[in-house]
Amino acid sequence: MNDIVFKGIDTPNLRQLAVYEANGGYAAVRKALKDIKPDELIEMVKQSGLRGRGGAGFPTGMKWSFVPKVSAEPKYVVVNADESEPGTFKDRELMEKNPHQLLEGIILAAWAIGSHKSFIYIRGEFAHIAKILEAAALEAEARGYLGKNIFGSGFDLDLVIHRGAGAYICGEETALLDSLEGFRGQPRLKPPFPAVKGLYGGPTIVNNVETLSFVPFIVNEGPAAFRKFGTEKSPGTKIFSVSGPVKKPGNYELPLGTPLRKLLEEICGGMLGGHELLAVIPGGSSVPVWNKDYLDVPLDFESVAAKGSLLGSGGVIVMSSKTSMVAATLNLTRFYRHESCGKCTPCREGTYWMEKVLGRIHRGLGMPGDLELLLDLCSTLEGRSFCALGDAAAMPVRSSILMFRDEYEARIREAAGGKTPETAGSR
Amino acid sequence: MTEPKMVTCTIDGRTVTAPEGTLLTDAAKMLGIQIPIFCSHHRLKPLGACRICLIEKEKTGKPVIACAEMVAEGAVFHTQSEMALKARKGIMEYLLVNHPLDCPICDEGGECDLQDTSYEHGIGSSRFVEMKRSFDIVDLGPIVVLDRNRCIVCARCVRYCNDIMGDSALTIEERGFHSQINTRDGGELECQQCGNCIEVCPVGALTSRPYRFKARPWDLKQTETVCNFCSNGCTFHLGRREGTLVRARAKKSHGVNRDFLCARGRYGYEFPTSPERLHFPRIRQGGSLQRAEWSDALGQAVRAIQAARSAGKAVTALASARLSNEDLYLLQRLVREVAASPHLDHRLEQRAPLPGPLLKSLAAFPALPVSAIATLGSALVFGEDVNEEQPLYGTSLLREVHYRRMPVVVAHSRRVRLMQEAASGLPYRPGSELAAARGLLKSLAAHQGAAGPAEEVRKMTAGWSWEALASGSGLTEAQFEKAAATLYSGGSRAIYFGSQALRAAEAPDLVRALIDMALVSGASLVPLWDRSNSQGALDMGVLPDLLPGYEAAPAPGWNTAEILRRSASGEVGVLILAGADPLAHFPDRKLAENALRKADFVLSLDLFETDASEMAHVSLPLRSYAESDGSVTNSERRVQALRSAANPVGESEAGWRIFERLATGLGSAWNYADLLALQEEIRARVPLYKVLGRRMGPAATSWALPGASLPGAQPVGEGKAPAAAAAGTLRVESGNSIFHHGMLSQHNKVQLKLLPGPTLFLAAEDAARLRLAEGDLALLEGPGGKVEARVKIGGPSGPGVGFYPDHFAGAEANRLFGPESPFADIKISTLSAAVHS
Amino acid sequence: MVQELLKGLGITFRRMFNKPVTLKYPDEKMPMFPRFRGRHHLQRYDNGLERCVGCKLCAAACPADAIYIESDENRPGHRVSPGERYASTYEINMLRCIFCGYCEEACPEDAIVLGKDYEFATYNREAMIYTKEQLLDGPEKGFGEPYIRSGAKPPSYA
Repeated sequence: MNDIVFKGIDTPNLRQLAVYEANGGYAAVRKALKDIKPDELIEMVKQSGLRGRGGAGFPTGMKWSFVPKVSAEPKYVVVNADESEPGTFKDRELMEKNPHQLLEGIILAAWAIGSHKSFIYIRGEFAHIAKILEAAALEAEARGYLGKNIFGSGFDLDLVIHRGAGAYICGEETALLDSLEGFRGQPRLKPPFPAVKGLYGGPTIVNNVETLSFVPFIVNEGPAAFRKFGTEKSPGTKIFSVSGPVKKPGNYELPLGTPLRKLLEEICGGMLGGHELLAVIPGGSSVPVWNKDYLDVPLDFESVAAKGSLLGSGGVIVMSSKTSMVAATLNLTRFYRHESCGKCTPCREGTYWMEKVLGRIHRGLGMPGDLELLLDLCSTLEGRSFCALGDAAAMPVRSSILMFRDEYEARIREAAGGKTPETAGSR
Repeated sequence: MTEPKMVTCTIDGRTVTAPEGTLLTDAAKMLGIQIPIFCSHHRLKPLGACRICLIEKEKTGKPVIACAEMVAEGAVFHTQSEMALKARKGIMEYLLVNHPLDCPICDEGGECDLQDTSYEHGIGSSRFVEMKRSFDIVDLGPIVVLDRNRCIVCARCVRYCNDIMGDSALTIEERGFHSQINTRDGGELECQQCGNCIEVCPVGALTSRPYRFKARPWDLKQTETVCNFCSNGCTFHLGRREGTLVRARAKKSHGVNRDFLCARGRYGYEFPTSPERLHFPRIRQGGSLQRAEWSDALGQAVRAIQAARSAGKAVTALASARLSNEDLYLLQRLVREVAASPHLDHRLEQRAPLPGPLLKSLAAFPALPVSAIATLGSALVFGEDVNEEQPLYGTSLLREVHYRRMPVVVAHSRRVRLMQEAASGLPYRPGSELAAARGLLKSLAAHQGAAGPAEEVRKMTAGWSWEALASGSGLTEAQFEKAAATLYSGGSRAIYFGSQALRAAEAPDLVRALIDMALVSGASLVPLWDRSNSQGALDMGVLPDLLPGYEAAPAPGWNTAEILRRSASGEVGVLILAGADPLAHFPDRKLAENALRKADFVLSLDLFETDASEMAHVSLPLRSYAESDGSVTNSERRVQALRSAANPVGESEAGWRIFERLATGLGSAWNYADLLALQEEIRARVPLYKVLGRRMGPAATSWALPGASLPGAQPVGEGKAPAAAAAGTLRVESGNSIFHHGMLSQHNKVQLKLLPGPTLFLAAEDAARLRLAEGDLALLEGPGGKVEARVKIGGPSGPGVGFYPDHFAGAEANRLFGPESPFADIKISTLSAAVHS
Repeated sequence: MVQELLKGLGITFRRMFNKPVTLKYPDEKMPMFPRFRGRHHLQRYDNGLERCVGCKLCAAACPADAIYIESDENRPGHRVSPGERYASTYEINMLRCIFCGYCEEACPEDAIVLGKDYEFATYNREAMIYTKEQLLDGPEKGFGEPYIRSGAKPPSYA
């Protein structure tokens, strides 16, 4: 546990440059800028099999290799620190406690693609973390790790820390770029992908905080050392943010492929007294929910997907028998309705409608046929929306109905002979 | 240009081959397959937001959006498969979640995309039973009404306003389900009021205030015709209900403008059915004009022409360039053949009209359609505020600047809209057009190789000193160099020039310099004339020195200035004013007044009472473009059909019929059975106009001068530098505002709402210097006299240069400006300050 | 032949004792059939607002082109109908009307209904063009019974 990015995470004052350096910090940058050519670095990341830790799990090295070698427009590295997925709080701890590890990752990424300008787009609510990052960046710049002519290699890199204004959608990479450029945060049409035409029209890589934090280790220890952890297709470790009524909730870095049961029962110490496991969402709020039959699934990208859910951002949300699944799903849907950017029709109208239907079921005003209506709305939303937010809104609803249909039906049966739907709508 | 790669794909089992990069919606259209769209628009970049165009792409597993999907080799698409239909049906149900069912009272009802698509894909009833959201209906100024309840947030209006018009007046507010359209500051729209947001709105969220509840689409009689204001020649539909024209609307994807119209085109439909129109012929009796019979009025005119001929006095004619080709052709035949006089012209505003040979040189350049701007490498716009005067060209250029950063050079005395966004600007001093043109020509010639005209031009320009050019124009050598480099940075090039260049005191030299620029840089040369049929008037030979088809006249006649001068000295027997009002448009108003007073007989043909028609001996009511059939030729030399959309007012008559009756009265054996017979004759006598009457309209090709080759390098004379503005004055220029055109639009109520009367536009710093505030009533004193005008800050003015639009009877620019130059130093004093609450 | 004559007279004698089928119009009037379509009435809501919104669908549906409408906008201080729009002019040319009832079918607001009146006789043609004032049922007809046949209760507007 805690083998790579969380290694020594609780070292006192690790966020100070001197302490970080004393723990072997910035060795990777020194090594890379001196000895490793950008192409070789991309090759190393490719060999390591590192996959994006933000949710989609796209191979990082592959993403970097899409950036054209020669470009008329400047290239950019953008760090997605807009960690807004409900149930996920890994990047927060990484940035809070070990900001230099991220800065090192950024410098390496910039070196790999030949970028001289980088941005950290940090969630607006993380004001104190933005300050920590700013302090770290100033310290690094004072020591010549950022700015002009890093380590005398002739390589320049500017870093801008930009605070978002509180929109979940800005965690979507192209919406993030729009927001960074000063527009409404709304996803862009793809293709062109950001790696070809991103920020200000220049080739841009957008990586998650955790993803970039892995890069110094890969450079220092080599791809093989990284591959020692995890599975063949999902190598390395991953931070799981466990929340809910378990004895020891929190962030745990574990090799990919660790079974869910081990995470919940051994590492988190099992359920709190009086609680019985009812449901688990394995990868942040945007993925299908599981019931307790799925405890033995190994937590890696492939195995989770094979069992009908997604590893996502690794936010493991545990729900006990004291939780109403209808209420929990309504809560999630309300979140997506609030956070839908409004660009595309299905997401804008669909989340609103689903919230209304779930709301009336929850209030005991559900009607026969409402579950079919909800499933139908999900299928009209899923795969039809502009970006993944639509899918994210639909998947929890669908899976929750399929897994816990009895509870929904019971709610609707209670409502039979109840009030008319018109009054259900107007609160 | 390299040929685009062609790819073949299958849609609904039929194969289609299209250039790489073609959007699937367009490819489907080639096959006649209609895919519904809301947010997608042919002038805008794909957005992919509304999702109504979802179709199935094989091997994808989920539907794709046809508006952003491009054709790919071997790809197979289904628009009518179960997956596609189900997806679209779902989207349709979502779209209707919050859309009110108020089609019966919605102005869009009957021509609404959402309504149509709902018929095709809707499920008839909604499963959404909760309350719909609701907003109040708001007026966004005098033109646009916003009903957010109906909005489907396709953002077409926002994008059109921003990307094409360059106004950014609209925006989307809030997010998610609360997303709604609003103006930038929540107040009224601050824009060109073009109303294109209304046009592009696929639902009835944006509707037109002037047209509000006037008619339903099905009780309009709609006629496709051509706008009569500027020379862009936009096609539109005039809608008539019960004898009144109630709206003009661009026809979707049709005409040179496709669905674009500017403010004056869209709201300039009122004057043809205005109650102020002249209804009857009038004859001067006892000092005033009295209603008369046609036969008496024409008889008087015929006798006057006979009298002039027997007295050996000249018969002269001035024509409006808004008349149709047929009118103009018969007018010149009447004057030349029947009255045996070479004295006619249509150019009233130009101080130095271009001589015939120069006009022929311009005609030798191949025509360039507006649509070519989309593929143009770079462009120079010289002496023309395209966005105010030629809006179709203006917005087409602006679109390319926005979407692909097309290198554009703009040379103008004011910092006009396009210059603000152009890669390079040449803001020369007012009146120094020629110096600026010479400077740019020198830079352009220096860039080119030794062959051909470039060498000649370089030799000519070598002697010009940069100091003189710089001090003359107020520009630097570096600015000229940058402009030249910008123009050379694109592959194919075009040079546009317009009214400021044509009205300059040194217009012929300026045009020679522009011809040289085009020759040196290999660019197309496009004159943007003033009026809807200026090009036709040239082609029809309503000129003192050119016959129809650019044949040199055997004995050149008098031009406008000469006609008026001779008339003032008593040499003119008959002066025919065919829709022309020299009092309003000729730079020297006093001379024009004298000319009309001293002419033995003045025959006026006009739509309204004008200063000139009231001085005439006989005044005849002319039909407007909306009541006439015929043809007009736009700046891209496309001959387009005018079709009558309204019933003729009173006893008004078409121009060509009046000329025919005059000619027969004078003993000619003219006899045109109908318009087609006349067009037949024009086709036979003017080889340029082979297309006339057959395949006219947007589909017709532009004519080309047969056997013409590009002219050789032209010698460019030296101009004199304008003096600096006198202390305590403001240098002011005149021209057309985007809200009006000429003198006709003052009869349109909507246009008067947009610009109510004489107005002086000036920059904020000039206003501060002269202690003027927005809305003040000011007295303007210039070399020509005094007028009163309201002060407006901004608009088409520039720092140090004011702008006085010339549209209002009683306050014409020639009452203020002197005859010498198209600008003047104006003394401004406040008459009454605006009341600010 | 006599035989036929007697047969005919027989019918005459038989009918002699029947009640007459004619009415002493205009003192007596025949009751109209339930589905008879007579003169049009424009309806109001309980609160006196007009039902017609001037949408012109009736005019569009009219096969005889008998209806002419001009619409205008309700303004604060001058509210005629509940929505944004009302008919400022509503004319039916009774000489053209064929009483087919399509207008009634087309009306989305149940504003126009065909009543039972059939007495249109007049001395000039102009009078056959019925204006909105003539067509609109006034307060004396009583509000709140706008659906002559449908029997449905209209929604109430504040």
